[in-house]
Amino acid sequence: MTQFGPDPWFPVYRTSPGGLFPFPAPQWLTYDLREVGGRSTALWTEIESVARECSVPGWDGYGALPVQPSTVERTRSLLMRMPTGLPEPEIGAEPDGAITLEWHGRSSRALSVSVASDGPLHYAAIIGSSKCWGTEEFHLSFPERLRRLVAEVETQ
Amino acid sequence: MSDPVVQPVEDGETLARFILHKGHIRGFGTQQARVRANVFMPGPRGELSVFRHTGISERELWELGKTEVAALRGFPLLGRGDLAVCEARAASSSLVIERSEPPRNHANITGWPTEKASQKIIALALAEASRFVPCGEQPALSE
Repeated sequence: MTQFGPDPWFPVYRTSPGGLFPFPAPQWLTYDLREVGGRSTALWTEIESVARECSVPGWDGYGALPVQPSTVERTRSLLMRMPTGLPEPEIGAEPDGAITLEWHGRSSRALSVSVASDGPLHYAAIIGSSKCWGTEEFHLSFPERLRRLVAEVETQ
Repeated sequence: MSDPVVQPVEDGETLARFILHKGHIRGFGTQQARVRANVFMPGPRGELSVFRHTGISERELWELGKTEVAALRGFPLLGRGDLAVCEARAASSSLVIERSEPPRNHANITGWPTEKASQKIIALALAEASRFVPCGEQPALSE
């Protein structure tokens, strides 16, 4: 199991699946949340890096709001629920403190999804000459509409 | 003292959005580096702050980025996204581009839709139409 050092943004969560144990779970039942969902360490590292750089007001030089820890956690939660087989996004931040997930394909194909600390996910996509945008709710599963768009953007 | 006169920006002009944050550049440090869409998202006050190329040299333009943008945060200037005014207006007819000085050559892009998803699709189009210029580099002549 990969181990990571103490980190205010990404504490190593050691818990029992389902929270069945009132005390620290036995070693054989523990896991590191960063390994859940089949996502690469590089992705979590990128989120961590963006979160750090954008954690102060005005991080973009134009008065941007800081990225909050709750936004980082929600982004991780969304990505852990992303279906395996979909490519990992590039990570960025927006002036309102939202985290951006971006997928880029060839020939003017791009999808951008904004994750805030609460509320719906806002997205916009350019796929060749067509454009679409809107909002999707995120609770416990990765929105099907976004899954389709990621696949479409990444399709040759 | 009279109120400042708001003057429009001409279609033939080019705008620069200065960039301080690596996460705003795709492929940073490579020849294929591109500007990300979130560079062109409006700020909390509904404005996108840019600088006009018109009437100043490349050196003066970079100097504006360093003194008026980068110095505010104390981070180095990484580059800028150059965008033709006509491309911005083509992305959305609702956008309004007006001079807003001081500082010198400053302008604001306003008129953004209130829905965030609508802002995002415009920002994506602006990013597609823009060109990344690393700090200190002369842009290639396209005309």
